[in-house]
Amino acid sequence: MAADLGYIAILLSLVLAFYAIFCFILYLKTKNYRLFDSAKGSVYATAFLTTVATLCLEWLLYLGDFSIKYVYQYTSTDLPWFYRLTALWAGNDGSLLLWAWLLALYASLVVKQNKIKEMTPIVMIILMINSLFFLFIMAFLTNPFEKMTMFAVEGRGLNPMLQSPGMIIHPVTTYLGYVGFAIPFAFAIAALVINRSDDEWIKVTRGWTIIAWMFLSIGNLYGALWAYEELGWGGYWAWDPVENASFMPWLTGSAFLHSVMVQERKNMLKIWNIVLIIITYVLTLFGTYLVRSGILQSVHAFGSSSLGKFFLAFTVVVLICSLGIMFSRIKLLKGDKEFESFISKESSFLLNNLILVGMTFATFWGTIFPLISEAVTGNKITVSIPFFNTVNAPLGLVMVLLMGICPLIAWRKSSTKNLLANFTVPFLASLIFASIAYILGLRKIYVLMGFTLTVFAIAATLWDVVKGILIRRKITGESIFIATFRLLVRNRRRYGGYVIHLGILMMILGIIGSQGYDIARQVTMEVGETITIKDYIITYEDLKQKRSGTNMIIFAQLNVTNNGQSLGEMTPHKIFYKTQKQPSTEVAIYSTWIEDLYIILAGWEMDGTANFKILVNPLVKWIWTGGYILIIGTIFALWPGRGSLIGGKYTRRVLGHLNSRGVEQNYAG
Amino acid sequence: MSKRLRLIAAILLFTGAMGYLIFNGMRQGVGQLLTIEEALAKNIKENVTFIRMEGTVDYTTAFYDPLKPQLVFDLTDGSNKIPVIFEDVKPDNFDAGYPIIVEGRFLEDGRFRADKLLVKCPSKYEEESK
Repeated sequence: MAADLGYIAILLSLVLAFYAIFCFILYLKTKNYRLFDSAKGSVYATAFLTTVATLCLEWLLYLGDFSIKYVYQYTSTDLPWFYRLTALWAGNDGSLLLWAWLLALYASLVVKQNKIKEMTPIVMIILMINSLFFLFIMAFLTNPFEKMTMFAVEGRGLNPMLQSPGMIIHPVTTYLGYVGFAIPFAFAIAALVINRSDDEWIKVTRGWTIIAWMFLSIGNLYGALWAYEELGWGGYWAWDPVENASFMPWLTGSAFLHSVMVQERKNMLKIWNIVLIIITYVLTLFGTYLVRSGILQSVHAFGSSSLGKFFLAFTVVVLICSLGIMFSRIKLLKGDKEFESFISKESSFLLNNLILVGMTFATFWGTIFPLISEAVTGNKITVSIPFFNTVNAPLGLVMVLLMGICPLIAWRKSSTKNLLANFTVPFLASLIFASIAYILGLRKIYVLMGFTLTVFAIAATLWDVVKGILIRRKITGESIFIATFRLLVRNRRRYGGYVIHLGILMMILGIIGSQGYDIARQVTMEVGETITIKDYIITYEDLKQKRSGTNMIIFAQLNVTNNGQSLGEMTPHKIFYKTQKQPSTEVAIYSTWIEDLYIILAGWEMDGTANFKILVNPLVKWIWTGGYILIIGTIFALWPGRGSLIGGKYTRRVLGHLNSRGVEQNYAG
Repeated sequence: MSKRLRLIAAILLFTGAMGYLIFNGMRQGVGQLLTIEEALAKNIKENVTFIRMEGTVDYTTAFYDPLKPQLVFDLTDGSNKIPVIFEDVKPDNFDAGYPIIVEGRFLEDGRFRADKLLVKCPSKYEEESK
């Protein structure tokens, strides 16, 4: 019943998406507003119907109705209810439905806001074509509500590796990010279609872009955290094609976020911005293709399915059409101003863009080179972690340096005096840091360099805030507290960006630390035995078992002290599930700001002798904490109200007003 | 115009640096992808840093010594077999019968020493339609 309802909802929304496109096109021709209203209604209806379909599938998953193939494949009766619900995105069909649903919700929000009246119909046509693609796939190729041909009492169950908090957050946030980039993409194309080269589409979609970018950041980060805690997924980042697939749009999305600022302020880089948003959106589609086609070997991929060619075809069509539209309007976009100076914010933004796009290209190259090689020479090869690290690490370091320099140099042209005032303190701070670190024994040159550059960038960012506070105090005579508060809150866009930078720099510290100085050891211990690793003294007290629901848990009791201080008990364990063939190894992690003690129970003998793999991973906590700071920064920057829209200086605000009015007049006339 | 020239020079410099980085990276991180049949025919290139193979496990040959830890098994494509040795913790889903990816090198005695053993993300792995 619910299955039929769900499938009918998909079919109906497919029809209505068609209808909406048709009406929007007619509206553009006739300017009859009733057509617009009707189309708008059908956009809402697709949102409603895809919601119904999603709820139907969730309901079936919740009930555990194994007469539905999808439910049978991904759940079982002993699975807790919230994991049954997460099975919506455990498989191919369900995650397509999630995608279509999110896109439909986003689309109805866009049409409701109707921010740029002349663009909305075209934006909607573009979004609905995308919806149509996903709905079509579900309606005719892989129906999430497909029924089983035979009767089953029990489902195959959700893989234990997916039974983790990561499953609740990572896929949804990644999809929210992926789908979110459709909105700025649609606006960019719409602006071109109606021959507008101003930056209104950028202003209107700024919130969408930043939120999509934030979700993609969270998605990537939670994926990393999940892989870190899950044995056999190669640590927090393994440059797997599927990981790369969501890293690439993140990189180009980051580049886009920065380069649009140059267009807003200086009316430059118009073509570049269009190209960036097209690439970003196409990369999200390409990522979906990689994940679903089975064309590359990956641990995280869906099985090879015939869907791949449809995704590839759609990706190529989107790419060709959007580039085609761009080239047909190229005259409109030309006529950029020239760069006035090499040492200016514009040029450092351009450089940061080059680096980000360079990293994207390198990652793309490494990801698809196996395909090229096979197609061209017939040699089947594979590109592994060292490639990505050797290419992206130096680029990343230049990026870090730019993150220090960029915010501090002025628009147009920076004077020597300006440079000295901004950089003396951060430069000295990083020099002092480097000397201390060297004296304390940090001798690996790349690690030392990486840390020093990151400290420089952090110091430069903080120093800029301090200077701002001091100047504000001097002018207004406010107390430090009030001056700080007002400075930050009234320039939320700028300082939100700074907070995001600090979050990313923290992550980079964590990445450098954990790559540069990790320790790994294999030990076999009898009950009662004690070993020492670094300053940790670990005593293996006992091997026990307990029941948890229908599952059996075998766990090792370890007593751990660090420098004589007790850290309590750590219990790495294995869970044996009733419906799964394999157990699930759950690592025990004791995390501090300095390092993580990471213990895996590898196996045991009948007499209780057990083998452990023990790792000490420095600074990993900084990576996750940096992620939270990034979220805080994003929310801070986007918080609506005074101070969120412009760079803070009153003159800029006035200029901004004048500009936007000028724009309106232009288009009225 | 000289500004434009300088801009072009900067972009050229950047492209050159990128080219070098990629070229350099390709010398270090590229492995050869072989089917089990090809690997047995010893079609191995000299200049690759590692070999990657995909196959399934012959569970009658699989043995795990948790105290070393060491995992030995035959990797098979149904007809051909390659003995594999992996000196690390056995991945959880190893026993589940899902396809396995190994990365490493052949030892003198013909066994394959895997540095990396990955099991395909099984829940998402959909069985071929029957």
